[in-house]
This record gives sequence, C-alpha cells and structure tokens, in this order.
Amino acid sequence: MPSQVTVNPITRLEGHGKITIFLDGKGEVARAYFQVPELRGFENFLVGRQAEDAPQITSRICGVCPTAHHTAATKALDDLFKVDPPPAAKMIREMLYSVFMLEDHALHLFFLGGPDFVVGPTAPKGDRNVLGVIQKAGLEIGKRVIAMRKELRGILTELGGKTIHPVYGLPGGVAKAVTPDMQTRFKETASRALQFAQFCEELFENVVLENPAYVKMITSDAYTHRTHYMGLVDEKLHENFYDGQLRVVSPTGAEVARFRAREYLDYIAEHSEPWTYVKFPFLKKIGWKGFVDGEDSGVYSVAPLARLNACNGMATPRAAWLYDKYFETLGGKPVHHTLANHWARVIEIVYAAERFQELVHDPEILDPNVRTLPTETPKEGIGVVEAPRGVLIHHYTSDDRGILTSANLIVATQHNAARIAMSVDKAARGVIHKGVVDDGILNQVEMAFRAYDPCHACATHSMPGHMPLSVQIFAEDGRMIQEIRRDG
Amino acid sequence: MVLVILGLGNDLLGDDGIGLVAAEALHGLEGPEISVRSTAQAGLYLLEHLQGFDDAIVVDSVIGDSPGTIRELQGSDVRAVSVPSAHYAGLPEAMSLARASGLRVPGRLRIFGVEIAPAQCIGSAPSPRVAAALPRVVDTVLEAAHAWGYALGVPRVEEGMLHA
Repeated sequence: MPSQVTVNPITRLEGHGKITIFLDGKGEVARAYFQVPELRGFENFLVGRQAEDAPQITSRICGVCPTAHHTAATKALDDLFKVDPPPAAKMIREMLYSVFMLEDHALHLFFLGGPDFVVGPTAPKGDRNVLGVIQKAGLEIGKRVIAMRKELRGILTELGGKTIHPVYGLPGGVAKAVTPDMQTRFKETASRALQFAQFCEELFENVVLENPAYVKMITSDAYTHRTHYMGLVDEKLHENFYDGQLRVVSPTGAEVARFRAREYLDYIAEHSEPWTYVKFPFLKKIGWKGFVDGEDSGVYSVAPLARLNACNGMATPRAAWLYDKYFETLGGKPVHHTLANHWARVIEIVYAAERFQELVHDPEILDPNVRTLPTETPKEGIGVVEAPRGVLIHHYTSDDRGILTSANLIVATQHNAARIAMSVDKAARGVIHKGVVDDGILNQVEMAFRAYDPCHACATHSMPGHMPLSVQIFAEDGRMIQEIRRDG
Repeated sequence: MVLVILGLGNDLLGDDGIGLVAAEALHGLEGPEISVRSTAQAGLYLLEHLQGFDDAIVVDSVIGDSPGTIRELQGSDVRAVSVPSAHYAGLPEAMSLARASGLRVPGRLRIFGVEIAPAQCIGSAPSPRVAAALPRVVDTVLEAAHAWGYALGVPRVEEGMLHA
C-alpha cells in the first residue's frame, strides 16, 4: 500500500470531481477513490434567513436541477408550517415535477449516456460527445430533443415563474392555478411528450438492446454491485417522484425498511473517512461495514436503477409493461448492474410522460383553490422528492418567527457516494494494469460513475462552463506519477 | 439582425455573479434589435437563451490569477469536450449541436470572461476588485455590439447596482 496518501481538498465551489488512484509496486490498482463535494456552505447560508426563502435559495445550488431543490424545499416548508396543500396544488406540483423529470432525463439519455451507448465507449475521445451521437443516430434526433425540451421548459416557465429559478412553491400550495386555457395547451404538449417518450424507448431498444455487445457490457461484472436500494413509493408500492414513503430493499430484493421522510434520521447515518471530508450515508440499522457489497453492508444507492429496484411496479400502463420487460431481460429483481441506470431512465421517461398526461387531463387540476394558508407556529420541517439522480432530502428547523436555525440537505450524489466510490475502484482494478492509464482506459473508469450522473458542485458556472475532472495516479511510494485533467 | 447579450453566473456565489450584474447594467439596451438576458443555468440549457438570435455576446466569470481582468475567450479556450456530467456540457458544444441540427443560433459569438478568484463566499456580492471591472465590462460589450453594427443607447452604471 502507498506509504503516504495525499488528497488535495476539493471545495464545493471549485467544483472538481476527483478520482484518486493508488498503484501497488507492480502497477496494479491498490485502491481507487472518487470524491464528490458537499453542500455545507449552502446549509450555513440558510441559517438566519426566512424559511420562505429556502425554495429560492436552494434552487440556486444547482444550474441543472433547480426544480428538484425547489420542490424538496417547498415540501419541507409544508411540514415546517404544518400545512397540507389543497389537492389541486399537489397535482400542479407533481405535474410540473413530471415535466421536469422528463426533460432532464431526456437530456441525460441523449447527451450523456448517448456518447457511451450510441457512439461507443472506446470510440475516439473527439467523437464521444453530443455531435457524435447525432452523427451516428441522425440529425433529426438533436432537433427533436431540443424542441421537446424547449416546449416542456415553456410549461415550467409559465407555471413556475419567468425568472431564472422557479418561484411557484409556497408553504401550503403553489402561487398559480392552472386555467382552462393553459390546460388545453398543456394537453397538446402532453400528447407530444408521450410520442417523444415512445421515440426514446424505441431508440434505446434499437441502438442498445439490439446490440449484444452493449447488453454484455451492461451486465458485465465490472459494472455490478450488490447493494441495498432506496426509492420513494406510493401506498401501492409503485414508484413516485413527488411523494410517498422511502422504501429500502436488500440485495436480494426484500424490504428492509419503509419510512416517512420525517423519520430519516432513524434510518440513515453518516460515515467519515480520513481521505475526504465527504460523509458517506449508510443504513443505520445495518451499520457501516466498509466499501463492500452485500446484505450485511449498510451501503445503499439511489437513482433510476435503485428506484426501480425499491418499488414493486410503475403506476402507469406503458411504464409498467417496460418495467416487467426490464427485469425479465436483466435476469430478475433486483438489478445490480450500474449501467442499467440508462435503461431505467428510459422507463422513467415513459412514466413521467404518462403521469404528466394523467394529471393534465384530471378536471380537478383546474380547481382555483391552490393554497392553504399556514396558521401554526413553525418548528421543524423535512421534505423529500426523487431528484433525477435520486432521493433528495431537505431538513430545516426554525424559531417561532420562521427564521431558520439549521438546515441539512442530503443530495442524491451523497447517498450514492459509497457505491460510486466502489464502482470507480472496481472499474479501475478491471482496466488498469502494469501502470498503464490512457484515455480509453480512463473513459471506462469514468463510465462507472457517469451512469449515476454525479452532481459534483452544482453551483459552478465559470467558463469554460463544464466541470474539470482531475484524475491523479499515485505510485506505491506516494508520489503522484500522472495527472489527467478533463477540462478541455 | 437581432443580438442577445447573455450574462451567466450565480448571484449567491460572490464574484461568480459578475455576469448577472453586467447584464443588469446593460438592461437599458433592450429594444427590437437587442435582447439582454441572464441565467444561472449551464451547458445545454443555454441553448434556450441563444435560439432565434443572429448574434450573441456572452459575459461570464473565468477563474484566474488576476481578478477583475477581462479576457475574451477564443474558440480554442472553450472547445467542445467530452464531459462526465450534464452539468458541464459547455456552451460551444451546445452551439455546435444546435447548428448541426439546423436550428437558428447566433452565427457570431463573442465571449467575455471576467477573471475571478477560485474560492467564492456564498451569499456575498462580487468582491471590490471584480466589481470595479463593471464599467469596463459594459464598455467592452458596447464596443463589441457597435462593431457589429448595432445602434446603441448609453447605459449608466448606477450607484448601488452591485448590491441590488
């Protein structure tokens, strides 16, 4: 093992993702780590501010998923002010949330997963990008995805507010009701969204599932971990993005826990490691046993793969059919292959489109009563949603005037931190031998975490507008022998 | 011809908000030929703000050694890269994608980066060194727009704008 471990700290605001690989004397991988930053700065910033501002402040954490933070914060405020929103308000929130999940998943499928699956994981670096995807799969795809996302985002803007960040969420409801005119237009968008979802489904089918090499890669041992899985489910144990209980299943698929967001501290604890200031959440009742697979390990994961494992089915017809096919094809439930996240995401695209369709056609969504005014004294509030990348928890406490006294946010990438670290370690061991690390090898290591779409430091926007990824390789004596930066 | 002036940044992240402050200062240019926008979004999301325009001037922050210095970023500084996450798919990639897909995106693009320090303090306004660059940023954008033939009014940098 290396005599000295040097890990340069990364800060949330610099936004570096970082892989650190330690080699042994023969140039084989002794241990590889992947680091994700954390949110402490934003949590501290919330203290002393009015609780009602939390949905606006926390939506600034991430330039990609403001809607997820906004919604989790709004639900935490419902709880903080002990107020139950009217049915139409809940429907509007869930409808907007479905629209958001659909457009975000579509972005990931085509532009992030696409380069690996459509272009191919070992294609030259210059081709493994969005342009490579449309060159291979057709110009129309890019146009269609951009147009669909634009239309969906139009709905988010119309109901969510014409500002950089959404402003519709209020404790006890939403700021704006759906009018009959909006409903008519949204229905048309919903029909197009369904067709779009079908198009995504077909593309994945034709490009990925018809290709035995890809299916083999998805199911290969290098990208497999047998951990626990956590996801939000409704009362029928169907997957739900917006509300319900958190359900945890074991690596064999047995339910080991089901709880309301309010009880999360009874079920989730955090483990610290000397090499990073990032804390690793684990299942409290099982305990931290290290970065290991299995039923005795408290490691769990979130995100599409985990959500499908943690529920008993999908609530809408086409998604339910696809759900069965997915488990049948991949050898039963639960599925442990990290790369199956991409397929799970396609099924969730279909679910999001179908759920959007259901909600927009429900006459009750037109009810102008969209707010229950809070009258109770605030104290403590916890809200949860399924962000595109997995379970997102917001937990606030306040004084009697609603001034926040503490904030704890657990984002998806934190829940996944242990499993991502395990995936990177396993992939590195599988592909790095005799000290040789080149671009193609590095991409195969990156694929291990790209499937989770880890959110490193969402707040950073400084040009060149993408996150630098730093890979440092250390020799046995602790010297850094190679550094590769993905920063253009 | 229609021009979009797009300020990028996060108003909660100190210096990183300089692009937004610049957009605010340039707001008076809004008219039939010029649109001024700002966003905290990144990557492919920027397409939404660029579609339908002939020309674009982008103001963003760049991490550098001398905060407050304005640099024009060239194509080679911001070339397309393969990125590990959606969050960081950059602007050039978004533009190439749109062009390849036959969408109308700006044919001319200039990107000005204001250098900021690597570490930012959450919740603060831009630091004095970066804030002091605002009049120069405004002038730089005005010159660029003028050079492309856009008729301009003169926006004023007002007292207190930085703390809005």
